[in-house]
Amino acid sequence: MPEIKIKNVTKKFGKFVAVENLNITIADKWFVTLLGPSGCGKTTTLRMISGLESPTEGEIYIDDILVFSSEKGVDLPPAKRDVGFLFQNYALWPHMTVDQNISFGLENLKWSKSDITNRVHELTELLKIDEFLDRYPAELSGGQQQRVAIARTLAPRPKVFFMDEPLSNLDAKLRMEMRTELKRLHRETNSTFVYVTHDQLEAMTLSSRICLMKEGRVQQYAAPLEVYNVPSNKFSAEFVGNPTMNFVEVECQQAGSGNIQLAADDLLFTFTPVSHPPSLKTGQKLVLGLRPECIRLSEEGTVQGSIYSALPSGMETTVIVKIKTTLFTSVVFGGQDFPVDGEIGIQLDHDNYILFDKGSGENIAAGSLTVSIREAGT
Amino acid sequence: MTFRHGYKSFFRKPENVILVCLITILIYLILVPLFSIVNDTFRVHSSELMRIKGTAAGDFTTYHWKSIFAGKYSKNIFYQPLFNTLWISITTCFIAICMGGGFAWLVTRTDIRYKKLISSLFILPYIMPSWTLAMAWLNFFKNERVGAPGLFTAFTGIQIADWFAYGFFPITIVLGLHYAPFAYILIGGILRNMDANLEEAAQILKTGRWRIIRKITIPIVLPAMLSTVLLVFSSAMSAFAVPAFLGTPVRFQVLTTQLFRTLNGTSPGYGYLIALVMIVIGAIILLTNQMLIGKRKSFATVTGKSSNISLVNLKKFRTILSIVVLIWLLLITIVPLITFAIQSFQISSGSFKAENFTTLFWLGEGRPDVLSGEPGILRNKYIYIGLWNSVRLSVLISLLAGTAGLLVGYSVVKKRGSLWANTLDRLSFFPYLLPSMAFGAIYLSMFAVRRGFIPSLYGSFAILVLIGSVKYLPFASRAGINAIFQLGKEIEEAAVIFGVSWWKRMVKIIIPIQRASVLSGFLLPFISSMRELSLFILLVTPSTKVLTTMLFQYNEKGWDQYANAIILFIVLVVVLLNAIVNKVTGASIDKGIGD
Repeated sequence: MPEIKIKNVTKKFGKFVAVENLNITIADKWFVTLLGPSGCGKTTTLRMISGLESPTEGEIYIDDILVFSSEKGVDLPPAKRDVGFLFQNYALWPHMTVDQNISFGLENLKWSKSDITNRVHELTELLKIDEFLDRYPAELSGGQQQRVAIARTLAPRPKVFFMDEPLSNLDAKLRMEMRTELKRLHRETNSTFVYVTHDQLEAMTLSSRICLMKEGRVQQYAAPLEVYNVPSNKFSAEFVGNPTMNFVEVECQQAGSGNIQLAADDLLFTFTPVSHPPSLKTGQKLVLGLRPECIRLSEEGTVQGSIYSALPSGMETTVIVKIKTTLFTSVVFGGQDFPVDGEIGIQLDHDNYILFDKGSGENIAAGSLTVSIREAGT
Repeated sequence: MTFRHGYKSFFRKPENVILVCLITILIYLILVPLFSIVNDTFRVHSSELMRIKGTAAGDFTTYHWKSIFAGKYSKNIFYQPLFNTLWISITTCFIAICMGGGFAWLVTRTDIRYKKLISSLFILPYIMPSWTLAMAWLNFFKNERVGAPGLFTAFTGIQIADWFAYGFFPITIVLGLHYAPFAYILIGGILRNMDANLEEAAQILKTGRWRIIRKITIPIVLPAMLSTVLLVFSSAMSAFAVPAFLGTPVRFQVLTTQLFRTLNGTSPGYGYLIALVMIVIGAIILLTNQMLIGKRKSFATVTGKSSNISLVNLKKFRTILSIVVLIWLLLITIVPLITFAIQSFQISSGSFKAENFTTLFWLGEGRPDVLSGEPGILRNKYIYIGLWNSVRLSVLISLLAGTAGLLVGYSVVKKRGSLWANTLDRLSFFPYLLPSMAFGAIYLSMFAVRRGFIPSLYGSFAILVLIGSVKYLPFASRAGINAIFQLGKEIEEAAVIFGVSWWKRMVKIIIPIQRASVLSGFLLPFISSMRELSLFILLVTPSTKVLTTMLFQYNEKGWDQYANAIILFIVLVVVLLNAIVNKVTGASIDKGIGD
């Protein structure tokens, strides 16, 4: 069964290091998302696995077959790797009809005419494009082109299916629809998907594993909810989740084995780790991370502030609360509006607030929090 | 009231004023002369009175039509040259497309070495006058038919056959090499902009390399290729100097040489009719091209940005192929220039003894025993007059055509899609399709006498400026349309909101931002007219001679050394100028063509 192993892969373009010492294993039937901001090396990684680009160093195995090795001088062309690739811009051949686009790959494999016709019909029905068989790509809408590209890629039944930001050219509504269908497709085709995106929501909703990258290095490789709940560093925490996590810069005032006292500009926090206590030094610079949904608004909150802005979307409302000089983003479910500049308090009654080291950005500990106003002079 | 109001607001917009003015002027300078030439084919000309008996000059006659198409000598006067012309154009297209397309593929799609050098060397034959290579061919391969044998025979002792030295074979080779850069620029542009993903998608689907080229690359490049074919075809058809140099020794005639003979001789009526035939062929090509470009829109690649192209690995052929290509390019670009230099220092060509070398043709005061005592070109006042005329003419043409081209670009893009804009767009491109010599013939017929407020221009410098500006307007207007189109309208609108005047918008915003494209709109007409021969040859008089027409006359007289010295001179001026402008501004000749 196809398992993709990437070992110590590095890719340089001249002096620029696009991917640095990448080590990941993609198990059979996983849906792995390569996630990161533009220029982080995710597309390069995908192109290296598929064979469109050759790594500078390292080894790649697909299905236990060595497809690339800089040391042994192995570099199988894409055609011999049994992969499918869906391009960001679809790359449909403009001079061929939908039918010709989809059958092209099958003709290369010397399938019989009747087999090709059957396969084309099977796919076009699955993707609901059977009425467009005789049209040219330019005569189709973006969403339809997208489906044709998927059908073309799936036609030869590749073992692994690579997708490079396939939804980024679609409008919001269509993107939602295609997300649903991609997940169904993953289930129905029973194959391994590797998916590149910069949209954290796509990564969260679709994948079984997220590989989060930044500047050519893997930041975290874990299941989506794990990335969300236990981000390995501040970058992971910030990149995943919408609205973004709240970050408050603090200084460690008192590091004990139990509670830890943290001071911000005009707020004081008491942090109680849920697991083993971290070793901290007094005066150490830290960043406190609070997910918006873990900040509860309440009239009788421990600290009081005012509503800086409120953004109701119907299903939920994003409320930005100003306490002294610090802004906190909170999410309230249900169709509620809040008067701007109205009084409100916040309450922190969860236990997954995260403490990051400011210098390295590493996740130090998760725990519960209490907050109070810092009086002048303390 | 409403009409007057609409009329007023129509002309308040500068683009509308430009549209109306330019269309009026171009109709007068392009379309009206067409009628004039048709009229001339039905008139008796004074030099023909002897043959068309019982008529007076200016009478109506069908004599020309009858004798060209169905006369006793039709085959020699018309059908054979027509056949030669078509056959040459087709073969030239084939050579140019294969070479230009092949090189374009090598440079854009493989990991061949020295890409920059290859690219700039390959463009050279297009920047140089087309007869550069023709002269070089003669320097190398001429045989005893025209006096002293060429370098090849001088070195090897092998006699060159006529078919190899003159006529169809060298003409197509030389024209093919000259227009290959044109194909290179057009096809290379498409290959470079073509989405590499289209080929990668095929690669992933297990398509063989040949099948990718056959089924994906070529069909997508095809519309551009057809366009190139048509443009090269019409250019080759209107070439004059190359067939004149290489065809005359064996009396190989094409339409342009026939046109020159008849118009300069005693049968201008035939000449006008041949010019008309060439114009009709040109127009058919324009129409075909327009239809193809119209279809091309549906070929436009669908969406998205093109990613980095992965190049074909030539593996062990990489170095060998790179060197072979480079040597080949040196052979067709630098070596010809060296032969010009050598020839211009030799008293009689073919001999390499020390006493045969002289600076006479450059610096000498003229010896009565050598070439009628003409002084060397650096001391010859006629050369300086010719040079001054060439430069003056090219500067004026470049200013006129460049400015008009920018205005065409501005108004066509602003009113994109409207009937007026389309009319101007086509009208400004039309001169491209008029064969140069036929165009010269038109102006000869049109401006030989006073027309309305324009006095008779024949023999004046103004007619050369006029015809050059109109003929090169297509280059300038393509560059202008490109420049304004790329800019997008928002940038200008932002200034309109602030109430900035039109003049200021052009000078302070549009031109500075698109300086490179705008400049190439001026550069192209300049370089083209520096090396132009066939457009001017019917219109120059002794006082308005330019370098190229002098070169042609020296060549006709067999004064090869002077011809070689002048050609070296022109090539150096043109190439140097192109390099300087390219360095200073980033504009270059390939930019305007390769849009």
